[in-house]
Amino acid sequence: MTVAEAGPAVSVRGLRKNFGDSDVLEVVEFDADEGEITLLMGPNGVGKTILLSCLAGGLQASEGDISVLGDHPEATKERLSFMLQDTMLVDELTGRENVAFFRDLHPRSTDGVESVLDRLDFEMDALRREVRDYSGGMKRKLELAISLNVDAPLFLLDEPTAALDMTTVETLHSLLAARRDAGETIILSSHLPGDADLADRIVVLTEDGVSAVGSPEDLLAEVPPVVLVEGPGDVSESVRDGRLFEGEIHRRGFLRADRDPEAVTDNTDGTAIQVRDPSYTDMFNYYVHLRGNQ
Amino acid sequence: MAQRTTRDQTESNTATAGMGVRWTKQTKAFALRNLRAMLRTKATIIWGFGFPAFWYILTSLFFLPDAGDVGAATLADTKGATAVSLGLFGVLTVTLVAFASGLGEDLTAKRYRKLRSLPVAPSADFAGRYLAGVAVAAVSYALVLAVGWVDGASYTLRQPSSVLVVVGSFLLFALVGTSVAVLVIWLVEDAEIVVGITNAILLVSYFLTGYNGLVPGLLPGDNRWLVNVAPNSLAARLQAWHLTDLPKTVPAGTQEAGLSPPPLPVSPAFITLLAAWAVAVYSGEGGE
Repeated sequence: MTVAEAGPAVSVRGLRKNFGDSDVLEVVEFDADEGEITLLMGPNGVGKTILLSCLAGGLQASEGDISVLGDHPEATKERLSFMLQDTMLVDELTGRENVAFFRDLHPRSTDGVESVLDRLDFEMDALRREVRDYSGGMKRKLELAISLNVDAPLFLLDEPTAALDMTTVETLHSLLAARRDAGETIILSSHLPGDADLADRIVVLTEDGVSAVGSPEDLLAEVPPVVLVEGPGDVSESVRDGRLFEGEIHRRGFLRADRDPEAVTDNTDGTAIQVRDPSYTDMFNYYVHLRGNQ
Repeated sequence: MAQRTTRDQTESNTATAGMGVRWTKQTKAFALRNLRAMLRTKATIIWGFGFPAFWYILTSLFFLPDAGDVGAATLADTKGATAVSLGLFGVLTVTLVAFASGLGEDLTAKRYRKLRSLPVAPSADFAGRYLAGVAVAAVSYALVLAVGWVDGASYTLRQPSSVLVVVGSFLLFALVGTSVAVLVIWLVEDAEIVVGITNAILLVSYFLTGYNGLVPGLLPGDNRWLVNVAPNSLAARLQAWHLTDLPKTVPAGTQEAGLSPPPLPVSPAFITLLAAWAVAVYSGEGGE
């Protein structure tokens, strides 16, 4: 059976979540295929964590339907593992005691925590120390190791790369890719464009719901060329919505379809202007801030 | 057909046994986690262990009668009853305030979004937390009794079954404390406010029942029946009767010491009442 024939491991239709009168998740619809890595990408505060919590059965959706491994989330708890950032660990317990706690709660836990921690370059001696003394990165590695230490077909990972250094992010990508190749389904959330490399499918989440779904390549192909501006020149008429995103060196905008790149870069007031192919950062800006507002 | 039925039955039994093993494992996990967390929290050490013992010492120094007035035997029994009363104050401190604080922190940290995603039995969660609370409360209770003993308190088991009554009422009272904690959490859902409310419940229940039923004379005559009904004073008076010789020292004993009237709750009906309290409060667990 090929991955394409396997069908969605997770299917979400018309999902809405609110707390009281406040909507924290607008209508969300997407599928995550079995044996694939699906990336929920979006800015802070759009409800990525809430969405993952609903998929995991940790929260109940206010409206809509969720199918997880062909069943209701409540019925699939044994077949998934959920990493919820910054909430799992008890500060008064040592790293090892936190590991033991979660190992005893999930019937499909394995003994692979130390192997994952070793891959993530975690200082093993720290397992004897109370978690209150850990850095943010150490806590994230421990949360990851605990969550990946489960023999389950589905992993839901909330911001797994946040607080990790670039080397560890690369290692984690490799570790997750290996699990995908072994047939496991992974859904992770992130607001870091660098995580797009890892994904088979990206679901872009905005305050208004899902603004785009597709493979990283397909989504990137739809993003217009990027105008990079260094200097005081005004190019707002050449970029979509007249909007420029501030960067460390450049301001960046998306070239309007009716503009000739050479005409835009032909500038005489000392402003350096270039037109380039978009990066994943541009893709993020495009689908979150431009397409998301349409 | 018969074979299938037997096999189905065997599989069902195996599954049931597996669920039992899993429940026990999860209960143990919650118990160890909460026990460790409580014992490593300064508030537990100070308020759960230190304060009740300190309060006993203050009471003994400034409020208990002189041996010359009531007799040495009665004073020793009175000190024993005082230690029992403040020991149960410590039990309520741990099972109500510390328990609510720990549960509140889990809710405030949104930790239940993770815990609910696991195939965990809610009863294992509650049982584990309860056992941890009982263990810490037992230390608090024993500590006050030990301080009392050093101070000259006398403890006597009234009858062999008193062991069961004392242990049973201790466990039921701890269940009342933890259940009230869960109810408060369910109503308030804010760790900081929960600590204030549970502390208020702790102190109000202590003073409103005449120091956990030890001095019912503090209540108006018409309301003294309350000390044999409210769970904290009922447990304290029940245990005081089963752990000391106080009633034998009448008239210079109980009346001077302040324990009667009303009569001490010595009939099985009062044990049933405490159990009813525990069941009634626990049934309002609130879905967590």
